[in-house]
Amino acid sequence: MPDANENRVLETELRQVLDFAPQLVAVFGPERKRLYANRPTLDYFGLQLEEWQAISDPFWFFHPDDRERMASDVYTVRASEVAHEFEARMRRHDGEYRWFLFRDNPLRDERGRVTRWYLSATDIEDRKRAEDQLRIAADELQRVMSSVPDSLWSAEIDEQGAWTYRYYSPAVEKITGRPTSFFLQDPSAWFGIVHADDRKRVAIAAERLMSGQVEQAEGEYRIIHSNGEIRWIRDSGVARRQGTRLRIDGVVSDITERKRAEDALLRSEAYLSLAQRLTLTGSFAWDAKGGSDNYWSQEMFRIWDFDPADGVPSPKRSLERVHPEDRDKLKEYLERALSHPLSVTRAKDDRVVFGDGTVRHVPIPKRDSGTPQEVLGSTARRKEQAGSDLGSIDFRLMMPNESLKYVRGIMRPVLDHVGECIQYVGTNVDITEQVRAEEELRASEARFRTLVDHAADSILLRTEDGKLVDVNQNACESLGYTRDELIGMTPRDLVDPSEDPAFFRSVGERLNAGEVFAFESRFRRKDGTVLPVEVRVRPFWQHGQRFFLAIARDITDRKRAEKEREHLRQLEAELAHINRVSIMGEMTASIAHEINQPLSGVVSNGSACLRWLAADTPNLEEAREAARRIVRDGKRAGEIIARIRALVKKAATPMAQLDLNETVAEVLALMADEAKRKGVMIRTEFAEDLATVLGDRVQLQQVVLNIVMNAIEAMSDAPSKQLLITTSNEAIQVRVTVQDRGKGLDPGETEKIFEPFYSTKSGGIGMGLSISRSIVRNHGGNLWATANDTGPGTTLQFTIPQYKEGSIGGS
Amino acid sequence: MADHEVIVAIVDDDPSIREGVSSLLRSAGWRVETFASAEEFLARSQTDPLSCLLVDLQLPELSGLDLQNWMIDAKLEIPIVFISGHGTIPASVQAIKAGAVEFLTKPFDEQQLFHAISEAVELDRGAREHRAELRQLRVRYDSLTPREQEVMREVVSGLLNKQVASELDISEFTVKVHRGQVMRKMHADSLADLVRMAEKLGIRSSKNS
Repeated sequence: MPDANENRVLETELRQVLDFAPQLVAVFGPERKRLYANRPTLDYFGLQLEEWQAISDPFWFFHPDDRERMASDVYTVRASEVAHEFEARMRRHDGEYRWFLFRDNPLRDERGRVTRWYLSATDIEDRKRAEDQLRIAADELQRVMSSVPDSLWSAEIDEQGAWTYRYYSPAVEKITGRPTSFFLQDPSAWFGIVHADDRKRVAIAAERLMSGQVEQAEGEYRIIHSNGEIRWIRDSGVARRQGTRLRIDGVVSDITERKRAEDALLRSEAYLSLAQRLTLTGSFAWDAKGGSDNYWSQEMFRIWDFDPADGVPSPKRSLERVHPEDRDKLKEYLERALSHPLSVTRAKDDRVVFGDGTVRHVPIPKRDSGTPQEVLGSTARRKEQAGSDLGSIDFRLMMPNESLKYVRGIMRPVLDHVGECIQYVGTNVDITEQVRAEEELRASEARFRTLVDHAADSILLRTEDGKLVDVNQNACESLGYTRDELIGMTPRDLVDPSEDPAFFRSVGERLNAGEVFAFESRFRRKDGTVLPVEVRVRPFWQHGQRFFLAIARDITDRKRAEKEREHLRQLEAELAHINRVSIMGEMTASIAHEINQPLSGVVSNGSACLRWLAADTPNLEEAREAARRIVRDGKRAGEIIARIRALVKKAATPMAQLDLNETVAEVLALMADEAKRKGVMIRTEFAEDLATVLGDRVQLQQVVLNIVMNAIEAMSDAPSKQLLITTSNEAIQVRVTVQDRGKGLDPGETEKIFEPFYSTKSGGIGMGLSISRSIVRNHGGNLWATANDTGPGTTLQFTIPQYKEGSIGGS
Repeated sequence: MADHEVIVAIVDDDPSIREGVSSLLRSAGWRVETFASAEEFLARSQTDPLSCLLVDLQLPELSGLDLQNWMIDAKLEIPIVFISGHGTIPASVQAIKAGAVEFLTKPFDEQQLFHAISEAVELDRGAREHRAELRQLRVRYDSLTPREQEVMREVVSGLLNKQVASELDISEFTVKVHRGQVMRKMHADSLADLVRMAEKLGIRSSKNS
């Protein structure tokens, strides 16, 4: 135990020690009575000990933000009276607050009561700042990392080869759609998202890196994003050995967009190449400075027939392939092309795309205080000054196999930003087919002209204003004018003045309405004679102008023929009439009987009627019946007479839609008695659904009459007098057959019977069948005879086309 | 004018004729049956005998003349009146020859028709009476015993009783008895009467046959 003096010395020494200590130290008595503060403490506050001791507020020095915390902490702790630490800010004498680490230790007496508090405070302001800075730096790094699109990663491989990820930057989530934890938890997770097709490649690269074969590796491969999309990424890694471990740091970048752009470029190149192939257009670029920066597209090689493997042929080699006669022409064109520069195409900002497709930044010359646009404008102006359009040049190539190729070339120099020629660019088009087609067209035109000139009709072409612009040889010959005389004339000059002008006005109106139509007219020749013509006019448009094409046919012969035909037709009608009347004559007895039948009925019924009425009790019912029958029979007689009258009438009946069953049945009604008289049984087999025909009823009935009369006649000596009449539908015709069981015809007779004045009958004039055939043919049908297949006899049959809506009948 | 037993048949394929003539005949009190063809007529039941047949000459298939021939062959003795639209001479001659009562040409008047029909009906009546008498004689004749018939045959041939007896190798008395039976059964008043009956029956003596 040291004595009091010794203690005092020691206390002084301790105080000195405390005064030199870097920490602030203060001693408090119970109840936190301020007993002592060392020099640094007093210096910090800028107080004397007495002043310090006099401070009553225990939190007086603390930062206002810390006071509350201090109050609660310190008081609470004091209550428990144990040693403790805390951090807080204290105000320095100059007003600056600094962070301190406080250590509060109580001293207790033998009874355990706290007699003293020793409080030391260490200035931690600088450490705090460093910590803050570090945290800010780390935050910033984190922010930077999350803002860059690329993801950084770091991995470690231990001596066993186990792969552990140490870090993945958050950007990985944007690239893969998965959080960093996904990859950090499972080292094989990354490999799992690699596209199956690329996995092997990635595995090999990773293996080479891990095994130390390479220190650096990079590759582009596909991964599957969590949303299912395929993403192209570029992954690179650098390996570093750290003792026994290998550390690999890598960067993953999403290059999907770049890949897409590349694909698009590839596609666009493919399309361009295809377009060139399809249009037979090759493109090329020549280095103006004689360098090797030459380009020929694939199609160029194909057109010129050079092997792309040999590279772009030299100008000399190319020129040798040009047809000798065209070489000078081509050289001259190339020289001219020099004065027709091609302006560059402006892109964004100060970048421009040059004719060769390269993109360069154009520095704006200092002396030229203009924008890039203005600089380029000056080039464009220069081009304009160069004047007229250069156009293209057509030349021929002599191919190795001696065939000729026609090529159309266009070439322009490309200037750089200062107007200096750097390149010639251009295209070559294989126009062989076109040239051939044009030649063919010219030949075809010549042929066509010959054709038109030699046409049997006059062809006249006029414009809308009425002036003739072209005529053919025939028009000149038939009108008696020369071609030059005709061109410029109007159709009105050619038409006979006696023609109705009103008609021509209507013709004009109809033509203007775009109608195509034909009419008959008369032309007046140069010598004044008149020419009957049939004119067919059609308007048409060509190159926005309307033309009228008139084809005029000389119908002098036709008119004459028409007259003759008309005359013949009348003769024929006369003959047909005579024939009908004569048949009727032959049938007189039958007809008389036919009328006699109803007449007898009338007489009998009349008598009966009178008698019924005259009876003692008149039988009115019977009388009425009899009277009714008189009316009926009278009508019947009238009908027979009407039928006969129709047949012997001379006037032609109009063409009408006819049911041949009905038409034939009417004739048979007339002939029933004739047949009966001759002992002939007439049987009919009529098609129920027989199509109608367009015809002259009387004429067709005459045909049936002739045929049936002949058939009855033919059977006069036959043992079985049966006549079968059938009607049937053919494909587009209606057929009527009349089959007799007569003696039949000799093989040579089947055609002869249709000749005029040929008759097998003793009393016939031999016109019946001839007229019948003429009638049938005028109806567009045919009439012929055949021997019966089975048994004796002849079959006569005729066909008439079926009626169709809108069809125009024969004759 | 006519009794109700009389039936007239009309065969004509023309309805105008058929109906007109039918009405006219009916108005005169005849019973009429009409047929459109010979075939149709032939199919008719013959139980109700006809008095007259009015036939069109120009019938389809089987003609009027064919029908006439067929009836002659079939021994159908019905008087036929022919009608025709156009009377051809050869056809009418043939018809009349074959026994037609009349040949009317259309159009015929009432009187012509009635006259012809009446004539035919009369003819038929006569024929009918003749046939009735014959039928009665036949019945009587059939009621004779074979011996009586033999006796009658001999007697009507003009033989005396004695001659008959020798002929038949029987006694004269027996002949007398048979002869008496014959006269009674045949309702004959006299030998002359019996002879006429035998003629009608077509009986001839065995010697002469």
